[in-house]
Amino acid sequence: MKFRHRGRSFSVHDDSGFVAGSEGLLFGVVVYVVGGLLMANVWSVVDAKSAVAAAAREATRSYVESPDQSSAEQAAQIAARNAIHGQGWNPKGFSLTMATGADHTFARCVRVRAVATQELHLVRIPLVGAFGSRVEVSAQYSELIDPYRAGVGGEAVCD
Amino acid sequence: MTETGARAKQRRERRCASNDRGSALMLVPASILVVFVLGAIAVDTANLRLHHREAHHAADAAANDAVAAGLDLGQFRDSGTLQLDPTHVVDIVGRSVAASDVADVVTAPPEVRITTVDGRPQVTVTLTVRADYIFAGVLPVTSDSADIRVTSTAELRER
Repeated sequence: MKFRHRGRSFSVHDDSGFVAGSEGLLFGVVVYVVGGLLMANVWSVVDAKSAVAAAAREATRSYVESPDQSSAEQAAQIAARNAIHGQGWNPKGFSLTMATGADHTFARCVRVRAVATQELHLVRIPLVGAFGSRVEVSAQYSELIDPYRAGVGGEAVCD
Repeated sequence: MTETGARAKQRRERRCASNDRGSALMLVPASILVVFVLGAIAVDTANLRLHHREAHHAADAAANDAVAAGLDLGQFRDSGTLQLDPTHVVDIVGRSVAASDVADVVTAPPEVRITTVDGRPQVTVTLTVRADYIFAGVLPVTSDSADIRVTSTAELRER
């Protein structure tokens, strides 16, 4: 069917068969959105893993270089949170656990282990916010307290 | 068909052949696929780099622990020379790697080399770890993982 308006000719097609093709557009959009979110989520997990690995390392280094246990705990927490913040993550969802063997002493040759964990949302959309279920990404790092350092107890023999 | 009708049909066919309407239906999915493939390559490369860094940190920590705690104390007390106890060094490296984040992906026992440079003992630790691909492993033409080999050296110095 054709009609004229202001001297121009228009053709009007009917929309029969549209239903048999329009879902293709819908599926395309869904695939694009879901694929984009999947890619962003995987990237955020890789990014978080990198951040917590750096935090665990910084915490362990600060711990083993501290003069005593109480200041070591504090220094480790501060160093880890600074590292997480420096990597662009919110320290609110971050936790750090320090372990120093079975007897929990701060002495020469004790292996110090830091486990850093960052909680993150599976879906995070810019300008909208984060929602959906949460996942935890963690990393660990360990080091010995220097057996020949001054100011701490224990034997300089690491068995 | 009359001659006029045949010419009209030829004109229509020529018009259809030179018309690019609807090509977006093919170009958009192809471009989206390209975007996803590039994103997947970026994520896999970042993941590989992350594993490389983690392995390097583990080798650093192992070499550092070994050179600090592997000193042969008997030799030092007897002659005052800095010398490492090879058995002890290998043991410490093994324990340090086992306590690290890459313990699950180490594909071979850590290689430990003890050398002396300018009278100062050095420990060189070489680790081989497996890094699993996230996206590339899905493709049948690529392997599921890559082997990463890192080396770290620490030196024992008197202060």
